[in-house]
Amino acid sequence: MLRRTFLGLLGAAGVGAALGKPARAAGQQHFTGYPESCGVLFDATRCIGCRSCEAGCNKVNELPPPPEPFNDLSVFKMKRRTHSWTYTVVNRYDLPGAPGPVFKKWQCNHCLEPACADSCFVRAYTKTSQGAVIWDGTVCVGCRYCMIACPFDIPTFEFNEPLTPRIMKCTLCYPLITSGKLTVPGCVGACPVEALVYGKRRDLLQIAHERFHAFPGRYLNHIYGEREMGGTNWLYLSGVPFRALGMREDLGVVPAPELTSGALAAVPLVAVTWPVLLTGIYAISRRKDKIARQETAQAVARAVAQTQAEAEGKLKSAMTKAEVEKKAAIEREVKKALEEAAKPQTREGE
Amino acid sequence: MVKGRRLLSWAGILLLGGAASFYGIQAQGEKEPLKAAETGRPDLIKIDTLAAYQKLELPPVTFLHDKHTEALRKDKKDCTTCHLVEDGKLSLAFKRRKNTQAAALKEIYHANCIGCHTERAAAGKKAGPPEGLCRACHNAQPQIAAARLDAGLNQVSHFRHTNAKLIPADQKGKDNCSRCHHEYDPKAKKTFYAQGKEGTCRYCHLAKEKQGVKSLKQAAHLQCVLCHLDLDKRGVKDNGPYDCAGCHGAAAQARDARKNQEWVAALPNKEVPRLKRGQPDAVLITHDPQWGEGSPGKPFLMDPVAFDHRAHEKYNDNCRVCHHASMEACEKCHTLMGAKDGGLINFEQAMHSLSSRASCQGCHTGQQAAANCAGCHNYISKSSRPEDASCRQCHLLSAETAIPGGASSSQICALKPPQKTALAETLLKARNLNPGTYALEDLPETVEIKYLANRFQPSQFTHRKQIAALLKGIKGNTLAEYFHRDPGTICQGCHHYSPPAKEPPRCSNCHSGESLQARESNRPALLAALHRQCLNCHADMRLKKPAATACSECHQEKKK
Amino acid sequence: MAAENSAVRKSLFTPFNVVVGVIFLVGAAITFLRFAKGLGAVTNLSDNNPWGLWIAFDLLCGVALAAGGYTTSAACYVFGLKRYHSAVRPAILTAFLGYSLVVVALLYDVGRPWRLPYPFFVQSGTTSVLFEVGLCVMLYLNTLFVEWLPACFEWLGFQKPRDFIVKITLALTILGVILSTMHQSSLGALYLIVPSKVHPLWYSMYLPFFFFVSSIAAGLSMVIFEGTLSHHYLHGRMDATYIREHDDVILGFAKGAAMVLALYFMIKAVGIAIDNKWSYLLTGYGAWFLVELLGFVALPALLYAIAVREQNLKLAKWTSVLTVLGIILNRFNTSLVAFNWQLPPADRYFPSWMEIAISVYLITLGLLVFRFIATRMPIFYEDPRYRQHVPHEGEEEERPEFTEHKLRQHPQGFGH
Repeated sequence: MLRRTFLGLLGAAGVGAALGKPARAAGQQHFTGYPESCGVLFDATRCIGCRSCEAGCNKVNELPPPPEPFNDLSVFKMKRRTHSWTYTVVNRYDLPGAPGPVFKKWQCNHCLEPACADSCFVRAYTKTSQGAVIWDGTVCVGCRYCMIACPFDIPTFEFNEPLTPRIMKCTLCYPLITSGKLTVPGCVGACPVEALVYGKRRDLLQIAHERFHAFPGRYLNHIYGEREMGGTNWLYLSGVPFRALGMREDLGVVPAPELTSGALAAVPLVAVTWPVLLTGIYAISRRKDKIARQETAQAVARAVAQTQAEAEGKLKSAMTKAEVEKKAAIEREVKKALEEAAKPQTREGE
Repeated sequence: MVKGRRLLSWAGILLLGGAASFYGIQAQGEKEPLKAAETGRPDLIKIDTLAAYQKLELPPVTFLHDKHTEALRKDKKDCTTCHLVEDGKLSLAFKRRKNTQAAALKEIYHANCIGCHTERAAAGKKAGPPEGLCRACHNAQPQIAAARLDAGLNQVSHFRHTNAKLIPADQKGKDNCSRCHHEYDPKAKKTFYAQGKEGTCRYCHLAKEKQGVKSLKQAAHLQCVLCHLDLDKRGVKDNGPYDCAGCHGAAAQARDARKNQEWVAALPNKEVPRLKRGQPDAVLITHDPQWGEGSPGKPFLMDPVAFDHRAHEKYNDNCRVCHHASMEACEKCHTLMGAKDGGLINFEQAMHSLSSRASCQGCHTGQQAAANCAGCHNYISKSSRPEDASCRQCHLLSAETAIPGGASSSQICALKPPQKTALAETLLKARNLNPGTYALEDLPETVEIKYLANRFQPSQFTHRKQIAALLKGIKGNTLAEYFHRDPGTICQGCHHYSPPAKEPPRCSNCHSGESLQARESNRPALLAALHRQCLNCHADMRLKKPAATACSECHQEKKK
Repeated sequence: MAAENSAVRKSLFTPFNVVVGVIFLVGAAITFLRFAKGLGAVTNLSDNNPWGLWIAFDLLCGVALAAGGYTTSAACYVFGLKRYHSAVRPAILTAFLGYSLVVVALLYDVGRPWRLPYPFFVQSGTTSVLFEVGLCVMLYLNTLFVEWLPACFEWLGFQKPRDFIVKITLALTILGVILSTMHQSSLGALYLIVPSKVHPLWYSMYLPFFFFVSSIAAGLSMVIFEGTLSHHYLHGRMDATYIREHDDVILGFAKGAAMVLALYFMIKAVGIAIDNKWSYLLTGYGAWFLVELLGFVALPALLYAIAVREQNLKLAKWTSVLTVLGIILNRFNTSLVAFNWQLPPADRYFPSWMEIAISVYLITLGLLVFRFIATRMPIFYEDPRYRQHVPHEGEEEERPEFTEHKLRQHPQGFGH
């Protein structure tokens, strides 16, 4: 190319590079949450298992009425999970050696780096700066990968809706709070013993630590959700081990997006490397074929030439032999003829 | 397919499978059905002496001591069959005085154990496993587990010993303390009796043997078991236990507890007389004069505490609860700044630490966990500093007013012990011990809680009845009665975070009705404050009724 | 006439047709039910088990087993192994139909199938592995379609478009390999996000590698398997070249598959070793894992190697069946058996008969379309009109003396 063109491209590249943002190594990032994001602190030592939170959630979200009324406590016989008609459930745990039953309220934990949002291929989920993880029904395809991805098994699907099935899960009352209809989520407002407290996540963490300090021996010195799966906005306190409450303690602190970011990072690498690699293999194999063909042709030509030379040699020797024989034959014939010619003369001379 | 190849591949597969099963599957022996009585035995000893020398080749031996002593007793044999006598004392080790080398030890055990078994079997008696059945003794998964309860003396059994005629008094006096209590002279390498210095065995005999001082286990067995055996040999009936189950077995301990109860009931005052060790009745706790005057111009100030030692002896089973390391005064080891002897715990911490049973406040706080107390006390925050009035319950009077004419705390702490004791007794006598509360008639009988009555009717709270129940809970408990002397103290369980008063402030003064957002860390909004106040108390006082979720038992639902 | 009609009618009700007819009727009924009453009425899917047989079999297995397309075309065009040329078109057809059926299955499984194009045209969730799968599958399906088109064009007589596509075969092949690498491995990467739900023996950070490598083995084995079946049922459509090259294809692919399976075995072992998961092998799941690894990976690798060594076609063909079953087993294990392994048995999933019926229906549909195309278009034979015109890209124009060109120019290009 022309020198001018080259210099121009160089200049353009330089300008482009200068305009870019400073690069940061991807691996060292750690999202600590939006600063003003709010969450809920649940205290299992306070919960009395009255299910008012379930009733409150059902009411503010206008969910269908459940098969059993909310003051029916016999539902605690079975461990329940969220379903498309209930965003939250309370489960009861009778532990040996504990003075009484312990209750746990379970719902979407509104993770800082949600697996559902990471896994959705139409970006139907948003982690809002307010703290809630919300689902957008206008683009959801219903593939249910978010349900696979969620480590807490939270999102539910309307399997009985044929054409417009929705994903149903706790919204932290985001639309209601942002529109001003509520100041706290429906469940928090309904709890008579303030087992649920709504506020800024950083305040909730502080409150939790203050409770540990004020009542030593009452709590396990761990806030579930502080770091699990990278941190959640719904935090739990308990006096008994969390796994006794059916909460998984083996989830680790790595947020879900980090689990797949490595594999995804390989994609553009493959897209760029493979063409070169495969074209190279193709070129090498083609060259090999060409060389093979050339060598074959050469071998053939050599063989042909050899055969030809052999044939010529044979022909020549045959020709000389024939020549010699011819001469010999002629001589023989001449001799014979002479002998023949000589014969009658002798007969006449008698 | 070539036959050889097929064989080879099958061989390969089998080899892999074999290797996997060899490493993976463990042989399972036949399990005999467990007999109920055999599931936990107090006499089970695991012999793993060689573990200190090398990695064990076989599992430790499961040895049942009582079984063996029973068998020997039937043959009229005694402890010396297995335990050698050293300087007139029995060696607690098996057929040896001390541990030598691993091979020698192994030989001692094998030769003697198996030898005896073989002899008995030859004589036709019931015997243990013979030679060759290694795993009968070295059993990796014995069906029996050790179930050994801790054994020791409590106040009653100690007194039964001091009162026993079978344990004669020493020449000097009427007491037989010298029969068990001793001190050790390291230079002369002998024990001797030091009167007035008796303490628990545990002060010197620790969990493990240390520098020639026997471990508690060894000392106790040598001291107690041998004495009991001796008595038994002499034909005495009420001789105390000498087999494992006799002290460490659950059945024996239950029987012993019953016997103690009967014995105490037969006493004149129906209680055990006070232990005689010349201990004071009252102690004035001050700081140690040897700590000096502090920095110039800043003398130590500590209002003295008059401690009723005599009363506290009744509250605890033994002296160790407070005198946990020695019988000396606390400030000897727990100095002002903390000393190595005291585990770097300073004087203030030693008296006030909430986490230790040996500290004053720690023990008192521990008592608050009882069901009668927990309803209020579980919810009093431990992280905030207690009020002055609470300190004054023990630090009775300021130093200036303690002695007529005034005296500084340094003067008080410099008093001689008899003067201090006298001062303590005076202070203790001067206390008003009558529990005070407001007259019940002055307090409302029912309180209508009208706040936030939306879904439910106002609650009619049976105020007087609850107070009466709380007072009943304190009655008879000296600690509770003492600390609830001031009127209005017991009301603070509910009427908290305000000075005690006959008409305390309303809940809604501090607990707002709106906004459940987290503001103050532990101050709930009104709805939760009302509910938690009652529900938490019910839960922690183990009240089954009313259940927390039985809403209508406290307030009726409004009909729509 | 009547006799003729009845004869025609009689021939319609062959056993095969009857069975297929029943399958289609049932399939149609279930399709209606699915779109009238929802997934809950037709499947055993639940909130705990949102993905079931249709994802495990139709998506995961379908994509893995359709890998023959890129492996065969890569072997022939990129690696220059011309002796597999006759296997390319059948493999491409199998792959094309396989991927098409994947999309059809998704139309059943996904909640709002008409929104399937949304991730590409409305809003993209580029952090999602599923997005990458979807994009690559969509592009690859189109690539396969284009690679299949020459056969169709030859049938229809559109020479110029056909020639053009044939000219860019290499580019298409390379694109196919790139896209296949990406989406085959991404199907494994789908499960990277849930280490807490997949049993440790099947979960590994190497899941993308596992799925990619096993897809190569799957593709090679499927070509052998499909070739065997076609040989049996569509023999009449095969030309001399195909028949002559057929054995070589089988043994050559068996050799490749043996090596790939051995590699797969080794990387699986590395996956266990690197996370020190040996102790899991001594559990029930461990035994099942060993069945999968030893019986369906190590064993076929060994059997393939033996078959190649002994030139035993029969063994190679049966081993291909074993391998295909092994791939299906592996995908089922990862997505159904080892997934949600920690849930109590009452909460575990088993497909309903209707889900199985739809999967069967889709396979039948694929077989029918395959048969339709293979009996009409030049898949198993080369259309003689097109042989001389445009050589494959990269081939020299020269005609060396020792090729079979002369033989190929048989006036009756097909038939036997």
